[in-house]
Amino acid sequence: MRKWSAQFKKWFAEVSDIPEDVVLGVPRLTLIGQFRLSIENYESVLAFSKTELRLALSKGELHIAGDDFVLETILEKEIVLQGQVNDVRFVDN
Amino acid sequence: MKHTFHRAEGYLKAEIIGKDPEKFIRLCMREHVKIWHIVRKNETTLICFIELADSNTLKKWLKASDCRIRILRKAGLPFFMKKIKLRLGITVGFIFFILLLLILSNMVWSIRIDGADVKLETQIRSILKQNHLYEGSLDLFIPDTGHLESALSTKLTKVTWIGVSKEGTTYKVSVVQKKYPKPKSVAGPRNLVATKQAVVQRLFVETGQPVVESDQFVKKGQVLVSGKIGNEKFSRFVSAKGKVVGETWYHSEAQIPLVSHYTLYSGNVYFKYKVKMWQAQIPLWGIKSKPFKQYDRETTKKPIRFLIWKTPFAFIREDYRQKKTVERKLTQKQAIKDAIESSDKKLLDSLPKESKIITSAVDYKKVVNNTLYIRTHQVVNENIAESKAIDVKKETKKMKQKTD
Repeated sequence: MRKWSAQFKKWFAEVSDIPEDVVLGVPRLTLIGQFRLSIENYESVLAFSKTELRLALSKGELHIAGDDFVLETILEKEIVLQGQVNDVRFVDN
Repeated sequence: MKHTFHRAEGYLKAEIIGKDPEKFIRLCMREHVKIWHIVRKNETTLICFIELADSNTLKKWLKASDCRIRILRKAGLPFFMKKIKLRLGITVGFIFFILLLLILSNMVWSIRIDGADVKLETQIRSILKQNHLYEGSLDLFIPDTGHLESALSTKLTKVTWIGVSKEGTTYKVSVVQKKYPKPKSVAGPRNLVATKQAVVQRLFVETGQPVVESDQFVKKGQVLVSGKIGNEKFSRFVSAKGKVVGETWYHSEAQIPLVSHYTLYSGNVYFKYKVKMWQAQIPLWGIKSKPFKQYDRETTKKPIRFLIWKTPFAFIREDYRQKKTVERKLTQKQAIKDAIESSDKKLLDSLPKESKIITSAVDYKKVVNNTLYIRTHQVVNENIAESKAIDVKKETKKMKQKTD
């Protein structure tokens, strides 16, 4: 049943011109060059250090690695990270 | 990201120290407390900016997340206000100092009066004091210089010209005093001659030989009292002195409207005070937009100065004087009486002081378009004598010729 509704949502997003992240509730990542990354639709901050940021998503985790990280803004739905981004990886647990 | 808007609310720069400082951030997110610019210092410490929240709730979250907080910097309006409160004395002193400077900048420091003698100067100063202008008075309540000039010149009769000017905090009054010529001392032989055509009424002769008699008709320039006395053999010249009263006639014409309209001030005055800031005017006192039905408005504007600068502020005073229109209707009888009175007065002003009007009579009157046209004549008794120097050499020559 759950799978079915996920499929329907995907189909709906394709048919109607509404962006997928709105319909599906999946994160939207915007990377500007290598120095600024904004992530929408995240759940919470799990860990943060100068070289690593771990975020909890609705499904799974997001690991970002790099250098000189600064969490510029934290809002309920959006987080903006500054610093040199080297690696973005989705991890299922 | 710009965070300058947080300045108004107040914020902290703080270190969050603990095993899991991210937990504190998660808590803050959940409670909608803004956090920004988070940097990891070391394994156990995060440096972040945090919005000013209730210290008790903050403590609760810190306990829940098992963290400690170390405040590095406090910024924003609430902290600034607290600082000001702590230094209340200095703040009040500073404000008082600025106010004092402002008052002193708008004060009259000196009044210089040029060209007046001591007596006139004290008189001028007392008149200026009545107009709120004295050393130490505030400039805001002083009428403008034109007003002062007219106030001075109406009250001072000994002055030909008076000018009031303002230079910074100094008022300058320049005066040109009237200089009367010294009355001529009578010296040398003189005749008394007639100033105008008249009938001689009475003669009062102190010195000299009267030449005319009462009821005699004299022309202008005719000798009335001769300065030559004595008989033909022994004669000498004196300065003739005396008064000759002669009867003279004058005609005058007047037009008097039977119905006339006047505007009078009722004496009711309404004051308005305003402060001008750049272009906007802020009323301080007096809100009525139209205090009277009919009025004259007078506005005085005083720019407020600070030390040597003019501030964009100005003090404005508006005086509204109530006006009344009055209609005056005259009957023909009253109009004639008025006309005679006014023409008599006019005549007496133009004649020497001791003149007297014997009779005034109406020659002709007519009313056209509510206007009375009137012609009157007056019979006047006045002194017609005027002294005139005698050319002694000429007279002695004449006499010699006669005797020869």
